[in-house]
Order: sequence, then structure tokens, then C-alpha cells
Amino acid sequence: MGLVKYLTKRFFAILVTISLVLAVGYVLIYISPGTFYSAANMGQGLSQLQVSDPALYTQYLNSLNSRYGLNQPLIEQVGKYVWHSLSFNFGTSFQNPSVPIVHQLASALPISAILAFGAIGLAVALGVPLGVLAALKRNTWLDSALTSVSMVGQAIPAFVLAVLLVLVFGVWFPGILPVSGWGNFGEAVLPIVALSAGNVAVVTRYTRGSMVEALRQDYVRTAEAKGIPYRRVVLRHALRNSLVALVTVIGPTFAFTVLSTVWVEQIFTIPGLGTLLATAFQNKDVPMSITSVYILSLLIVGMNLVVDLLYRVMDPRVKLE
Amino acid sequence: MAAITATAGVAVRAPRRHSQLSLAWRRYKRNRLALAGAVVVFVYLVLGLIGPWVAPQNYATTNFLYANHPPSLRFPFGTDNLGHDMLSQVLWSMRNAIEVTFGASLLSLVIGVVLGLWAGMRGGLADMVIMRLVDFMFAIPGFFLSLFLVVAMGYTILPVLLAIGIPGWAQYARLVRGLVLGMRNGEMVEAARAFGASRAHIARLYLLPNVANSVFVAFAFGVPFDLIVMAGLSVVGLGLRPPLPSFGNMIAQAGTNVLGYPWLMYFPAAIFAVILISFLFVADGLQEALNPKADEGGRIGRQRRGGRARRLGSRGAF
Repeated sequence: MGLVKYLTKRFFAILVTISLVLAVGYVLIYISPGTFYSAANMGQGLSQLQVSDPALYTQYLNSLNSRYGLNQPLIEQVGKYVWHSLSFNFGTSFQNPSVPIVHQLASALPISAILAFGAIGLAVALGVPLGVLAALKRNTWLDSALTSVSMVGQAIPAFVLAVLLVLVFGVWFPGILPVSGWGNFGEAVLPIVALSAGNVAVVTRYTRGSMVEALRQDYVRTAEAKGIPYRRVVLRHALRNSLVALVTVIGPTFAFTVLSTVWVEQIFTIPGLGTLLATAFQNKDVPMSITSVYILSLLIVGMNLVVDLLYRVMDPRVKLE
Repeated sequence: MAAITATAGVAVRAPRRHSQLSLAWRRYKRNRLALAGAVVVFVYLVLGLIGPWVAPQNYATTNFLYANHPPSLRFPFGTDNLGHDMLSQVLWSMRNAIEVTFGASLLSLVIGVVLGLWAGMRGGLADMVIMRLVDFMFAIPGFFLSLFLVVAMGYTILPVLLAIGIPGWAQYARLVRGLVLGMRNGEMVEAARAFGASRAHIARLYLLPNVANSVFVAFAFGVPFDLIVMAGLSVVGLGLRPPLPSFGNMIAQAGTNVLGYPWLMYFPAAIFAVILISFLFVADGLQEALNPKADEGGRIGRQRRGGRARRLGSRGAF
């Protein structure tokens, strides 16, 4: 299939997926009980107004409803919401009516992106060498140690690891690295470490598996027979071919990492997209909660497309479909 | 022991018949980690069952005189800022976690197996629609759908169970459909059809038993994953609402209090981690025990296990 045709097809698939996410999210929040106009969100004045002047109170709520279009039929609301979101016209959130959501995203998205991509980068930088090492020393104590450790690393979710890191660097060895906040390089270290531990494990195991497979291939034997130094055989012949397969795990791993940033940001109190998402959901802030899920989904879907294309570039035998 | 029959002076050992289950158990026993995991999981299930009776306090009991009390004889795991006994909290959390995760995984399994069987058997339009839905669910983490579902339904046991269980079906549907497609045109189904068996009959009596092993293994991986999702919901404040205790709540709470009261994190986080790891060891052991073909070459087995990472990563569903 030609590249243009493939991209068009994928583009429409992504469009449908994202629209469904938006529509389902909107409908579910629409039918949920409770309202944003509670005393906790709007201040005590509102409940006083309800008692002292019910007519004015209703008028006030109606004006808010018509401002956000909440008095229109559900179908119309969903259609408009999906269309506006797809054209990146997010409007304002309920909690901060004076700040457009786009501005909030502009400060939050880069933070989450740094965390997610940093975690993936660290995972590849650490996991590939460890995987090669395990494959070269396979069936020794080193191999089984690496395999067991990576199994444990894979099992522990990022938020548990994050709390553990806070304990280590906050209580046992305070002062080495900051355990909360965001702003300088040091504050990014622990969140990225917490996020990447599971990914390091995944990459290590996967690299080990495909390296073991590659080292048994005929072309490796041929290369060795030709008298090429073993180091070069490993790096040039075996590893290169193993890395192609590794690209395919990056997509799903990235999806899970993006999800984990939501959790890790809570533990380290980082003002990223995850924090926007959590506060929005807790307060029933309809536009903000759907938009944050939308942006995170877009990140994941976009990364999957990039991975598929990269796979194609790295392995010409792969056909796009 | 095997019966020994003498035939013309030659002792022939009649082959002993082993049931598939005993063969699987034999393979499972070889894996020490899986055995250890099974012990921990068993203890966890028992504690979850009897926990509410043996817990020193009710989960909602507070004692402000002993708020933030470090671990002592009276409070083995310490107390939190409201004076909850953390040991009781952990025991009640186990009960809640078992109810939610097993219920949610079972719900995903039932939806997924039914849709998978249907898609695989019927083919055509039904297959296409179901598989498009599966693709959609795999494109984006199911956690996002869980968020919306919790907001829509509420913050107690049953709504959280549904919110975790509903997005999880795609995994099972894809697995079952793939297996059914492999059998649909086989001799077994052909013979059954020749005898005039209905589709439902074939699905129930011929296909279901043959996918049971794989589905069971997927279930074993599904339970710890749902445990992570359940705790993850609590971390963003959308899990079980206090006073209902859950591991996620305790861990999220520990994150903010860890500087002053580190015991709030030691016990819940450690126990949660041990339970998760044990479940994964068990699932891994089951995978090897129930799928002997994957076990033949150690390397193939390992590679297949590598695939779990992918499953964990993208067991997505929304």
C-alpha cells in the first residue's frame, strides 16, 4: 500500500477512535449524578442565594447552563463538543473560567511529555545494554538475576515505586534529590526513574529474548566464520536485527507510561496533564476532564502511528496495512 | 503404582494414565517461584475472607487519641491521621480488593468470551463489528474509560467493580476469537455439524472446553492487572471513597505523609507489592503449566513471556 493511502487510512481511523472517546466520555459525564454547581465548587454564596432568593438562583444557574450550552439536546451537545475538540477549540474549564484550556494545556502538556519520553528514553538506554548482557551470559547467575529483577520491576506499578522513592530520598537520605515539585532538572529525576523502572524491565526482557534468538541465526554463524571480531558480530549483526523487533514493544509501553504519568504526577505533586485530569475528574469539571483524556489519548495514538512508520523504515520487508 | 503385567515372560509396564490436570500440576510444581506465589495468593485469599472477623477494629473506627501512632503492640501497623488502625485497614482492603478485582476480571472474562465465541463462530458482519470494537478498545488505555465510568456510577464497591470490569473484555474476546478461528473449520466441528449440532451446542460443548485453558491463564494475568487499575483509580481520587479502605487510598495517602509518618507506607505498599508479584508468578506458572507447547523450547517460552509486557501495556480498552 502506498504511503499516502496508508496515512490517509490511519488518519481517518484515528479520527473515528478519538471522536468515540470524546462522545463516550461526554455522555458518561452527562448521565453521572451530581453537578458542578455545588457549594464546594462555587462557594457558600450559592447555597445562601438558593435560600434567600430562589428565583435569582434559578436564573443564575440558567445563565451558566446557557453559557456552557448545557441546555441544548444531548445529541447536539455531543456533536458540538466532539467537533470543537477535534478542531482544538476547547473553550474554558468550569474551574478556571478566565483561563482558556489551551493555555493550561500549554503549560501542562510539555511536563507530561518530558516525563513520558524521558522514561522511554531512559528505558531504552538502560534496557538494551542489560538485555544484550543477559543474552550473552545466558543461563548464568547474571542472566537469572537480571530476569528476576526485571520481572519484579514489571510487576510493581509506577505509583508504588514513586512512593518508595519518596521514602528513600525524603526520609532515609534526605537532601540528595528533591521529592516533590517541578521546575528544575533535579525534580525530574525521581519521577522519570519511577516511570521507567517497569519499562527498563520490559526492554531488558524483550532485548534478551530477541538477542538469544538472533545469536542462533545462520548469519551470525557466517559472520563469525568470516573472522569478524565477536564484539562486532554482536553489535552490528545480532543487535541491529533485534532492535527492529524492539520498536514494536515501544508503542504499547508508551501507552502504559503515559497512563503512569497520571499516577506519578499525583505522588510527586507535578503540575502536568495528570494533575489537571485528576482535579478535573474529582470536581466534575466536564470540559477539562474530557480534554485531558483527549490529549493523552492523542499522544498515545500518535505515538503508535510513529512506531508503525518507524518499524516500516527499519524493516523494509514489513508491509503497511 | 503402575500395574505390571507379564506377557510371555517379558514385564511390560502398562502406561499409567495421567489426567491433564495432574500433568499440569506436575509442570507447575517445577516452578518454585510459582509455588511460592501460590502460597502467598492463598494466604491473601484466606485473609481476605476472614480478615473482617479477625481485624482488631472496624474499618471506620477512629481513635483520635492515637492519631499517627507509630507501630506498637496495640497497633502493629501504626495508625493514620484519623486514628484508623492500619492493620485493620489492610485486612479490610484485602477483602475489598478481592471482591473488586475478581469480580471485575470475571465480568471482563464473561463479556469477552461470549463476544469472542460469537465473532469467531458467526464470522461476517458480527465478526467485523466486534473486531472493530476490539481494535478501538486496544487503541487507548481502558483506564480512561474506567475514569468516566466511575464518575458516572459512583464510588462504592459495585460501581468500581463495573468500571474496571467493563473496559477489560477486549483482551478475552480477541484471544477467544483467534482460538475459535483455528478450530472452526477443523474435523471436530465438522463432525459435530454433520450430526446436526446447533451453533450454540458446538460453542458450549466443543469450543469452550478447548479455549478454557488459555482463558484461565488470561484471567490469572487479568486479576493483578485489575488490582493495579483499582489502586490507580484511588491514586487519582476516583477509587473507593473513604471510609471504605483500599490499597490505592493507603498508598496515595502515604505519599503525602511519608516524611512524617513513614509506617503509613511500609506496610500497605509492601503488602500490595508482594501480592502483585505473587499473582504474576502464579500467572506465569499457569501459563507454562497449561500451555505445554510453549514449554517445549525454553526459548519460545521465554519469548512468549516477554509478550506479557505487551499485554500489560496495551490491555487497553477504551
